[in-house]
Amino acid sequence: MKQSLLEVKNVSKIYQMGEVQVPALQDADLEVREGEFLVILGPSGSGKSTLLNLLGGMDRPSGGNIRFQDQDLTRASDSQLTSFRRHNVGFVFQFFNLVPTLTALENVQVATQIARQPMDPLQALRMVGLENRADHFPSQLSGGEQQRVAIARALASNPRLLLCDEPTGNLDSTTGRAVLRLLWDVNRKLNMTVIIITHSQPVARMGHRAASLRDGRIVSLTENKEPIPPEEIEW
Amino acid sequence: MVSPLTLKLLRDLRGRLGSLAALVLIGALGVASFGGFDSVYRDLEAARNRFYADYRLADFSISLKRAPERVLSELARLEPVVAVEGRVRIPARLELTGVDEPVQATAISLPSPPRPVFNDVFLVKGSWFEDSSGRQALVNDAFARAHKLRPGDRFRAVIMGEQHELVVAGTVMAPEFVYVLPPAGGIVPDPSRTAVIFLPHRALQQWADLDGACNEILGRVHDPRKAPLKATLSLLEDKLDPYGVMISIPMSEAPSVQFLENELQELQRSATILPVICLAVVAFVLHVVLGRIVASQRTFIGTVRALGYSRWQVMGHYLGYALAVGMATVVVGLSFGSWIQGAMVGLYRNFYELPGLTPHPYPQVMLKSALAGVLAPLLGTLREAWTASSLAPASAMRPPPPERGGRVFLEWLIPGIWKHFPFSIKLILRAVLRNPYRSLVTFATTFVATALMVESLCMLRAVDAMIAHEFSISSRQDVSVGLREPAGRGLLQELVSLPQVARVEPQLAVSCTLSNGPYEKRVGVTGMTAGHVLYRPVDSRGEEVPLPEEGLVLSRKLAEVLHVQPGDRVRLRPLIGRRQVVEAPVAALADTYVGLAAYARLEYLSRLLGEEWVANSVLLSTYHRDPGPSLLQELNRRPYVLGAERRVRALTLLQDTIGRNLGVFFGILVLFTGGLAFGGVLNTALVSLAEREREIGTFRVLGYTKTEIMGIFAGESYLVNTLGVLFGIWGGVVFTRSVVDLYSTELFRLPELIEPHVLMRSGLLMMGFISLAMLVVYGVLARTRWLEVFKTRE
Repeated sequence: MKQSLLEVKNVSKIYQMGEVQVPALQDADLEVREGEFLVILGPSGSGKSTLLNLLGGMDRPSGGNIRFQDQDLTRASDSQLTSFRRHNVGFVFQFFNLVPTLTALENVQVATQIARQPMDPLQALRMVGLENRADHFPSQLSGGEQQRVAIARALASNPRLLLCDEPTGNLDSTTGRAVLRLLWDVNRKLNMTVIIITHSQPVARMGHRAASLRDGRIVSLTENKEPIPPEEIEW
Repeated sequence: MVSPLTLKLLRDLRGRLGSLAALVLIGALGVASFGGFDSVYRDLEAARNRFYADYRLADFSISLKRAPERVLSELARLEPVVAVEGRVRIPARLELTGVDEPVQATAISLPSPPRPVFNDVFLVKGSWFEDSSGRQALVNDAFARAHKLRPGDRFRAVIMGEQHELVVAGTVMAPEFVYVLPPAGGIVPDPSRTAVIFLPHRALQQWADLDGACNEILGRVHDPRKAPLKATLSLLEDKLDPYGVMISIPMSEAPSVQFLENELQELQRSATILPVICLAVVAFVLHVVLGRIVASQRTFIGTVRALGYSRWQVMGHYLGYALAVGMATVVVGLSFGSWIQGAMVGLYRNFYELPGLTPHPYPQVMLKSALAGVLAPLLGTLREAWTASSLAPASAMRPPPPERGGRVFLEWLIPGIWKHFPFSIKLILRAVLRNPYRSLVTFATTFVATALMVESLCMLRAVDAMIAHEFSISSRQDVSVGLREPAGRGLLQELVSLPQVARVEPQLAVSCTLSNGPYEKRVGVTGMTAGHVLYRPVDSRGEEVPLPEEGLVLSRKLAEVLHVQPGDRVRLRPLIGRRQVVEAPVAALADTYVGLAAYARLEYLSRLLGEEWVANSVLLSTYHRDPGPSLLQELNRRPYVLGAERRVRALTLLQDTIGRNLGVFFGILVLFTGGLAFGGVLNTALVSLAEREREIGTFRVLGYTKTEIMGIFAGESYLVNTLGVLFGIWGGVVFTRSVVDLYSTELFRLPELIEPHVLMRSGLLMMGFISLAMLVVYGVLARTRWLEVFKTRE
């Protein structure tokens, strides 16, 4: 049994939208284990991004409790959450969110500059196969390449946890598969905990476990005895 | 019904109320200074022109020793002359019960009962003389107000050594005395110690020993233009030569007339410079803001275009932002402008004795400034509105092309150094260089604000230095005594024996015409004895300029007017005494900031006059810096004393008046420039922040603290603004020099004083204002809900 990294207990999140309260997440219970590949599945509006934001310390829950090992994220201050993200979490977004005025290498340096034990930025780019594009700006890279730079940036600070929000959502299937392969490798080779959120059912087969969300609730949590690599996934 | 586009516009405006309000304030300052100063100009000009016309200001005046009245009819028959009138004008000293210092006055004769042909007076209170006995006098209104004198009140006047009991018949304003300066010299009015009194002609003739004669002739000519008037004056001087002509001047060169004209010119300048700067800033900033709005509303533009709205409707919608800013600017600006007009006209009424000086509304000025207030933002946003209207529906629906990356020229220029920069420096440099327009606007705003700040502070220092130069470095006497008649050595003995008096130095001031070829100027040449210390000509550094045994020391401006340099010779013709023309060498130049001056050894000057050792004023130093009124009373009791003045009083008055007015003026300017810098920096920084909210969100997610992010984003602002401040300091130096040049008139000048500590202080003040703006930006950044940016699709 792997050690628990994150514990989510009875967590809910309610957004105040003008005069209306919108419950985005309700009574969520989840345990994230060290080194696992967890896929969070669900249609648009099911609450998966909300859950990811809470796991990554980008937001605080309205109720319930979230613990990262010994640290209580529920009651953490803004600066504690910032420090938590800085040292423990890597993020990969659907729209890459690279700084357009920095080269690939410099985008990675954005993360390494503030990390405690960072990788060499060029090595991070090498890991994603882009060391020869280090001096290129985002506008000179394809979508897949941009996402790989974003992954390199997320890895470069040596985080415990890699959170990916629809990492293939903006890519064609071939490129998407390559990006998933990269995340698969990161999980296996670096033993890094990876959480991916997606609305694509087949991707769930990659993970050690898959949690399904619907209308703000975790409706199922299934264990995959034999995860399959992205190349074998039918899209 | 309000169209949906208008409703959207109104709601968008409401959402940006804060930043637009800052912009409106800057624009309103422009509209206000444009309309306000122009209105004040018109009020002042109209009141002046009306007064001069209605009260028949003469074209010229000639002062002489004594001309029989019969000569007037001869002059009137000369072809260029329309009419002439003779009058008596003589210095007087007034004594009021309860006022311990005497009042220096000019007594002028007025015919009674018919009104004078020229230079009539406007009766403010009371009545005209009842008879020509000389029991009654008219006094200038400012003096009457300073002492609460009313018709029926009594005072004493000492004229030619004799005391006369007088009753105030009425208070008046005179067109030649709109700005009444102390007769002993001075550049600010002192209504409590300076008076003009008008007495019946016959009475004053008797008192001044001028029975059947006059000592001043006023007149009007057919052609009052400068050159013909000068020619006529030469002709008249020749005709009047036997009667001892002392000075003949066109009325336009009379001090009061010149001061008023100078003030009008300054108002015109103020009505141009400030508005142009303010409105340019509004146009610039709005251009950037609307560019950002259009970029973020592409989908909306595409949608309404797809629904069938015309491109003109879209263009009109976006111009609506500018129109709204323009209209708010105009409303605030016009009200502020009318306040400025009221306040300044009120200030002028304290300084100028000018009837009918009241603020009037000028519809054409309001229209002009309103038009400027609306047009500036419209012009600034025309390109953005056009871009919005030119978007085809289909392409508007797509996100805008991504921001281009690519290298900036620095990377090619210094690749070795560039490589070692941390990413944050690279980020800052690229942001600055890739947005040249935004950087330029920020730079220009800070540049202009800093230059204005440097100029304001330098001018304030210059005024201080000017006062110190004139009243501490050059003049060091404690009391100056004017004498009725030139006096000899014996008088000095008497004065030095007075209690409190430590030292006595004679001075001889003689009106002379100095000329060099076609260049000619009439100035007072001041003669001083060897070893003089109480008044010294000095240069701009405060070093004494020694007087030669023979020849003159000229003030720099006078040398400039005469086109001479040290070593050259000028022709000098005294206007009194033997009036012999001599050639005098120019030995050296001194610096004076008020009027034109020439200095010589007293012995040299008296030799030129053909008299030995005479003085017409005496400088005293006393054991106490301020001898108090008792010494003055003692001095004024002596019949040969025309008037005595304490330097402390003159200095205090000058510091009070100039200090207060300039202090307020430059204080406003400093606040204004600070506001400009603050508003400019805030506006562009907020725009930059909005444009890069996605980057900021990313940095936050990656674990950057708000302060770290602010460091990166403020870096861009600080870099551009610091450059703006540095270049602005340089611009301010250039600007100060040109303003000093601009203000360098024969009447008044300011030293060109550019001190490192003033430049440093300006720079620091500007950085303070910029940091204040950045603090606000930090507040905005800290409140930004960065998570939201990831929820919206690009």
